[in-house]
Amino acid sequence: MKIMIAAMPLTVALLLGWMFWGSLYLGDMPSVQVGRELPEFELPALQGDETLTAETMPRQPYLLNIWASWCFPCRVEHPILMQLAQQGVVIVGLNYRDEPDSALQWLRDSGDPYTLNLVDSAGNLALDMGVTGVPETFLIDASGNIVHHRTGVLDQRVWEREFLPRLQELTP
Amino acid sequence: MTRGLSLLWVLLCVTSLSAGGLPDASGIDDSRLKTRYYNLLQQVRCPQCDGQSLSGSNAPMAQDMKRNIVEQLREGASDAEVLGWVVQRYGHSALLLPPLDERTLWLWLLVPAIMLVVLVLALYRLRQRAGS
Repeated sequence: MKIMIAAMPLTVALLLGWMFWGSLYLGDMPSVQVGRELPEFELPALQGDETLTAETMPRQPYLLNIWASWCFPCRVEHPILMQLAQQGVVIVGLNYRDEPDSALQWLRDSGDPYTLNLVDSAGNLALDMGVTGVPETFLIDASGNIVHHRTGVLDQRVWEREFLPRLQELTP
Repeated sequence: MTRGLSLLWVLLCVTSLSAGGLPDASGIDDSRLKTRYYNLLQQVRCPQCDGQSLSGSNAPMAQDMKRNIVEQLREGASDAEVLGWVVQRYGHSALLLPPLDERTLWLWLLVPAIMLVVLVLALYRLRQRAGS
């Protein structure tokens, strides 16, 4: 009994240590969005005066990239988006809570990787898609289903590990 | 001493007055709806800032969610419907007060279980001590 009581603080410390250690490697929470259809929306295009809806989205697998001109990490991932666009990957932008003028200026200054861009100035579509911040990237298939959801910067490693295999599966 | 005390009283009154008239950004006039609104805000985790509720956060995402929740309440949504709307988008981890169901049962039972074990141990020791 004495030994049990003496061992209690150590047991508790080890248990807590194990929990904290484990929580370091939890990674991202899995998104509840995967497997769903793209929500309905009606948003203006950044370039031109078209109104875009879920029905006007590309009829092939594409990336939906949430970005804003005020978002610094978006600048970090911009080069890889440019590179992917050159390789023929279709990228739709969702310009999140941004000024259209600054967004257009940013695309003029550093290049435009997007096939088309939605303006979500109120952040409503982002909310419906469970976006937690910028940047985020979704992989959408040809029939408009969400295949993958990445929170944070899309870099070369993430592209090769998470997106490329899924995209190759989608493209026969 | 009396002066100090009365000053304290004045201070107390002033602070309680200002607490009664907290600024209200919800824009809801109906006081019942307002109570429900602030209650709900405390139950939802801000997706942009882990560990904070919507009521404690002014992040852009939290503002959007709050605006949306006000609209839903105005249109007559129930509390469960609003929370369902949150879960639909951000999953069950967005709820700060998880509902009691088969997945959260252990979470709810763990604390009473630990307390019970400690109580039993303490009683056992007390009896041992009384016996010796």
